[in-house]
Amino acid sequence: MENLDLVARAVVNGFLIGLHNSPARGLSAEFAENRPYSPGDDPRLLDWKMYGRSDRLFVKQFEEETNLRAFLALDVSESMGWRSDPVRLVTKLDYARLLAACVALLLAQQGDATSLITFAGTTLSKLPPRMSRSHWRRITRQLEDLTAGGTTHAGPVLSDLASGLRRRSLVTLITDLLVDVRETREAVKLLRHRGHDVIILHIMDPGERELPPSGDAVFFDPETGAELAANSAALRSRYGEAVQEAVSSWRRGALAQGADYALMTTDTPLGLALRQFLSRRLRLR
Amino acid sequence: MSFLSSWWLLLSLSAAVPIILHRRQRTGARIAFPALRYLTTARDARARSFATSDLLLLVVRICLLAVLALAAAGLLLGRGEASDHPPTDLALIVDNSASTGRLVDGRPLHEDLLDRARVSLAAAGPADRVWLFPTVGAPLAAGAGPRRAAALLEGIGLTDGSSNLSEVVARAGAALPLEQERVREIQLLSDLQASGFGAASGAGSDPRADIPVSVPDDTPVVVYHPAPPDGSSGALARAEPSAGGTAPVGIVQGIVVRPVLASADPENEGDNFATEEATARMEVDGELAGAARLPWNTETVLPLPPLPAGMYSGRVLIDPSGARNDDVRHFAVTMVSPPRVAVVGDDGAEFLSLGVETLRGAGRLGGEADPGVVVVVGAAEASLRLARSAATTVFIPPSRATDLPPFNQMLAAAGARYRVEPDTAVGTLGLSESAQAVAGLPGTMVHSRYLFRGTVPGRDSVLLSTADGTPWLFRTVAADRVILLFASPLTPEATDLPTRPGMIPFLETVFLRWSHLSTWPPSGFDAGAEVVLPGWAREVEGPEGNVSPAVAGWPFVPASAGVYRVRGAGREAAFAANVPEPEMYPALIARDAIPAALGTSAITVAGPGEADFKDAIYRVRRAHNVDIWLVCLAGALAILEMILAAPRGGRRPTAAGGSP
Repeated sequence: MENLDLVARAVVNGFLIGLHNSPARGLSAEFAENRPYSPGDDPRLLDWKMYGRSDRLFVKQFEEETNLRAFLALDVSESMGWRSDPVRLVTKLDYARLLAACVALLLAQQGDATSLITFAGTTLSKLPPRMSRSHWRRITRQLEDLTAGGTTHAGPVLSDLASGLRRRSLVTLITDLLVDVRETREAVKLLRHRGHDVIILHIMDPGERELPPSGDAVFFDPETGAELAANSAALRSRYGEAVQEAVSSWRRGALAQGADYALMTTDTPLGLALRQFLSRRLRLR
Repeated sequence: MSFLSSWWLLLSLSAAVPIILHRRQRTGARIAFPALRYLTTARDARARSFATSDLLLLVVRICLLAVLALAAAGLLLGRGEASDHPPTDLALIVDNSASTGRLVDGRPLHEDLLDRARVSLAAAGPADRVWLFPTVGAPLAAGAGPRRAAALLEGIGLTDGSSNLSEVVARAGAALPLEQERVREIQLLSDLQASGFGAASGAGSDPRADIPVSVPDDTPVVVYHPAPPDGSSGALARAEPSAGGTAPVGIVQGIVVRPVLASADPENEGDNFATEEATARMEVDGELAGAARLPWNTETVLPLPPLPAGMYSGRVLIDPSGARNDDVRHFAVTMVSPPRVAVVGDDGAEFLSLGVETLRGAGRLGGEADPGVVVVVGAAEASLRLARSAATTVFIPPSRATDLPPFNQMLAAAGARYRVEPDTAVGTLGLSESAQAVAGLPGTMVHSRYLFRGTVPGRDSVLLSTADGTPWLFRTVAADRVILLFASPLTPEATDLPTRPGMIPFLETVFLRWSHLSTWPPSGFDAGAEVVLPGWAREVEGPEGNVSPAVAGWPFVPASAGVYRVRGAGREAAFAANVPEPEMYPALIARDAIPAALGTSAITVAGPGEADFKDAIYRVRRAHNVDIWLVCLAGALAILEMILAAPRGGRRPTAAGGSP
């Protein structure tokens, strides 16, 4: 996945539609709000008046700063590094990082400030939202350096993110959803409750949709180390039903919470998958 | 409950395979698979919904394999005892021929056959009736109860005779009555020696062509097939006097001996026999009279010592092998004084008189005084009184046809029921083919002859014929006197015989064998076979000294091998009975050849072994096959297994799989 920016540009090139509507605050330089200072914020934006009144550091945010703050939360857990066919397919993480680069580019083209958060058990890295071309390149460089590892705990990460967001934002969760379902749903619910727009991009390997015909085998989860001895032929139909049920459950849950959900398999060309997703999203506006 | 092939029950062990597969911890390659949660969900879902059907499938598979094992083992339900079959008329045939004396595991086969018979009778019910047939000898029971038959069975002993199994089975089939409410059954307990089936066993001809009755196809025949013989067996195939059973004193003669090695497998005959030579010992009247060592399957003559006139019995023995009585052969020889011969008449008697003188000079014939044989040459009426005093008269016709009337009158006066007439179509002829075997006669030509014309039927025999079948030497009996009648004068004009070297041995045959001496017995006999006794016979003394009355016209059966003496009307003769030669060759008939040999298709061949025989009896009496029901059940189970094992089509996910 070298030259991720080039590939992302090639994928996104020709897209005329965006991920979201403008928050209608225009490109004026009007003050929008204050938010607590966090390490990494530009010290020039500190609101010293607020500091004088409250002895607490706040950063001033302006409407002209961005149309939208978008957060790309990327799952880099061990399971994301798996692929069922090393020859024909890329790993879920490779697919996800290209997807994240594409989405970031789309947001950048829309003038949105984009943040990249990588997580597994906890938040592993976080690039603050910015709206510049150089920032997008920072994002792509960081995406290129990612490696899969660790267990997934998406719920706490998303909850922490929700608690840190002061403005209405777009949170895009890119994950294989091999997560704690209840925690994650609670976190999505919290994000939605706080008015954030949530997109769940479910990355799945084709080998996860249909059980490969491997006969008797001991299957183990590379993330948790759990094992299960089974005959794939005997369980194949049941497995398909279980996957179908899980996908349906995620889709229904997202719909109920007002979040957007899309399933993308790594054997689907990313441009096609992205186009289908954006088209559907356009229809739903 | 029993089984026809119980070792097939081992197949039932395969019923453990489904259990093992069911219980087996599934192992295999370790595969990294992040979506393990879905796999766990699938397994749990399948375990919930399929637990019952899996268990049912396991049970069905176990039952399927068990049923197949039972079918293969030939399951027989019930106890197979008397109460399990309808009233049955059973013909039980027990082979007691000499060949059943061979050893099987150190025990005579005959005893094994008796054991099988006891098993059969033990399985008979009180309503059953038994016909008991030894293959050699008369039937012992006809319609007897099983207990009575069991008692009679103990009387069946090993004999020295041979059996015709096809004939005995056919006879048994004919003996069983046709009664609608009773089942008929024949059991043949035999060594199944191929020779017991006649030519059918190997030559492919119909062995039963001369058997008047056959087994109805609705009468099942259970044939016990014993273990085949292993290895070769030595036997004595021949031991008989070289010059016939009657010989004049002074003639050197001996006993022709031929030991043979007989194998069940002719290809390997004798390959496992210990010695390459047989030792033959000859005994005469209980005294050792000679011995020799000779290779197997060769022949030699053991010379008899000089014996005075009288009857002698003897035997030749080789080393015993097995329990059969084929290692000894008996013989009987009667030494007689040279016959006294007188020649009367001078019409062409020169060559004849010269021949008689020659034989007399060699001590082969006695003097002229008180002759036993009178040779009447031509129409010598004066000789008739002398001829009437002799036991045998030999009539030689005159050279001239004009002398025939007085010659015919002489014949009539002597009691001969023939007269002779000129043969107008006379020409040179040879003698018939059978005459070529007579000493001195080969190549003899006849230039002229007379024709015999019978007057009254009598017990006559043609001793010699010309090549066209016309009698040339006639033998007839009149008033207990033997009359020999030639068709040609013994002159060089009528036949070249008088001028041939064969004249002397021919005359010896005429005087020693055909005229003076008794012609009975013609040779030895087979033990167990019928012997036609001479008309004068009144009693027969067996080898053990037991005397049986003899009835003229009734056959006598020498049950065991040995020398028998026949007496009556002041006369006495002896004959030897021996084990028939075919009994020495132990080759068994092939199983698949038995139905053709017995001429019936309802054959069940069982054995070797008691269990197999019992199962065969029971299977025949049940009259239906349980196997077919087991096979049907197995088929039903297989269909059920396929239904249970088939995936649930309605619950299978679609190919689209809910793609977004």
